Amino acid sequence: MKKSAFVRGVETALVGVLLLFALVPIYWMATSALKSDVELGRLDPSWFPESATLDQFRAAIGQSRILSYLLYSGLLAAGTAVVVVILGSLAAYAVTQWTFPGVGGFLGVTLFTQLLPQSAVLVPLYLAWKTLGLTGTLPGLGVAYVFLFLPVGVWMLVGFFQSLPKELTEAGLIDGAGRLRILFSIVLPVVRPALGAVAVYTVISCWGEFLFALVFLRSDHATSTVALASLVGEHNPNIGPLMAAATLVTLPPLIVFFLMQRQFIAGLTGGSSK
Amino acid sequence: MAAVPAAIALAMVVYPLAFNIWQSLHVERLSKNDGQFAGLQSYSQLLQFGGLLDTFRTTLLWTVGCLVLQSLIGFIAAVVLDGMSRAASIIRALLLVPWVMPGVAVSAVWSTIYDPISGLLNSVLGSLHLPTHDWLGDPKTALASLVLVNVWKGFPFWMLMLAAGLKSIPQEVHEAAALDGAGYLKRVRFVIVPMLRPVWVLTTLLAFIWTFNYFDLAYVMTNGGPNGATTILAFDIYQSSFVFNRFDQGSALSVLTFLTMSIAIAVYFRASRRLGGGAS
Repeated sequence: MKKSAFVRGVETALVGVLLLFALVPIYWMATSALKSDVELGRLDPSWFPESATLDQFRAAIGQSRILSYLLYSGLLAAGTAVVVVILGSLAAYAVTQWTFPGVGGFLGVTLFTQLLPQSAVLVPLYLAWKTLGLTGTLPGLGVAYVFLFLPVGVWMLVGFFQSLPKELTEAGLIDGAGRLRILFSIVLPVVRPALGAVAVYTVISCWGEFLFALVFLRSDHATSTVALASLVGEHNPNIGPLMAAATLVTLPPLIVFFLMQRQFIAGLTGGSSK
Repeated sequence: MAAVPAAIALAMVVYPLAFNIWQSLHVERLSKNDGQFAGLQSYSQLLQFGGLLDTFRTTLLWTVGCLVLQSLIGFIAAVVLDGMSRAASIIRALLLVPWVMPGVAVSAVWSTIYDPISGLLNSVLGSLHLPTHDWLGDPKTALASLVLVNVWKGFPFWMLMLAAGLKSIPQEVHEAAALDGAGYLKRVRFVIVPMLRPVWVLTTLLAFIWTFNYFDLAYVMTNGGPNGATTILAFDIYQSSFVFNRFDQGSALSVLTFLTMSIAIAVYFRASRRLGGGAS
C-alpha cells in the first residue's frame, strides 16, 4: 500500500508508542530484579539501576524452592508437549488422509473443545481426578494438561496435514508401505515445522497454566506459576525477590518463543484461521 | 487412530457438561446431605445471596472492555506494521512478549506497578503532578486496572490474527482503491476494515471465550476484590468450589458459563454465515 511521508511519520510514532506500552513493564520487571535493596527501598523508583546485582535472584532462590518448581514446570510442559505431538499427529493423519464416516463430526468436536471454557471444566475434572487418585501428583496434572491441550494441537495439525497432497501417501501405498510406515517415513518429515509449532504452543501454554496447577497440586509439588502467585499473595511482598522470581518464570517461555518464533506464529494463525 | 483424541474431545465436552448439570441440581457442599436432589436451589441461592447478577455484570464489563481495547490496539499495530518491511518482524516479535509471558508473572509485575506507595504508575503520575491513587484497592478502579493489564497482555494476539488477515488482501485491491483516489484513511475504512471482517469475527469469538474465562489476574492481583469488584465468573467458580467447598454452586456457575459460551458460538456462526461462509 502506498503511503505519503506524513502517514509514514504518524505510523513510526505509533510504533514507538506501542513499543513503549509493551516493553516498559518488562523493563520495570527486569531492572527491579537487578537493583540492590538500598535502591529498591527508595521512595521514588529509579529508571536506570545504579549498579546491576544478582542479589535479588539469590534471595529468590534462597527463600523459596523456586528452582525445583521451575524444574517441575519444565518437566510438565515438555512431557505434555511430547504426548500432544504424538497423539495429535496420529489423529490429524487419520482424519486428513483417510476418509471414514464421522470425520466431519470429529473435526467439529475438536473445534468445539478449543472453545471450551476451562474454568467450567475445572470442577468435574478435579472431582474425577480425585476419585481416580490422580490429584496431588505431577503426572496426574500432566494427564489433565493432555486433555486440555490435545484438541488445540489436533486442530492446528489438521490445518497443516490438509495442505499435503494425497499423491504423497498414495505413492507410498502403491509401493506397499503400511499406514504407520507412511506416516513416519513420508508424512512426518514433511510436516516437521507443524510439529514444532504445536510443540512450542503446548510448551508455552502449559508453562503459563495456573488455574489447574493451583487446584490439582499440593503446595510441596507446585509448579512455578503457583509458587510465584503465592509470593505475590504474601503480605507486603518484597519487590526485589518477587521481580527476580517473575523474571525466572518468564524467561523459559520467552526463550522458546524467540528461538521458534516463526513456527509459533505460523501454527497459531494457520491453525485458527482455517 | 483418531479414536483416542476423538474420545478425549467427546469426554471434554459431554462429561463435564452432564456432570455440572447433575451436580448443580444436587446438594454437594461437604455436608451430611450430599447427593440429595435439590432442584434449582443452587441457582436461586446464587441469585439471592451469591451476587450472581453482579458477577455477570462484572464479567461482561471485563470481557467487553478487554475485547474493545485489545482489538483497537491490535488493529492499529497490525495496520501500522503491515507497510514496514524489514524492521516489522523484529518489532512484531517484541510486541508479542506480553502475550507469551505467563499470566501469573504478568500479575506479579503489574501488582508492583500499581502499588500505591512504591509503584511505577503513581511515581510517574506524581512526577507529572497528577493525583496518585490506590488503583487495585479502590472498588471503583480495580476492574478497569485489571482490564488495562489484560489489554496489555492480549492485544498482541489480535495483532497477529489481523496481520494474517491483512496479508490475505490482494495487492490489486489496494492498487485499485489508490487509482480511484482513495486516501490512506479511506482505504483503511473502506478496504481494510470490510475485508478483515471474517478474521475479526473469528478472533472476537476466541478472545471472548478466553477473556470471559480468564482467571489468573483476578485471582493473583485482587483475589476477586476489593468488595467483589473483580469477581468474574471464572473466579467465582474457583472460589465457590475450592474456598467455600460449595461444589454444587460451582457447578451451577459452570453450567451458566457453558450456556454463555454456547450463545457466543451461536452468534459467531450466524455472523460468519452472514459474511458469506468465511469461517470454519
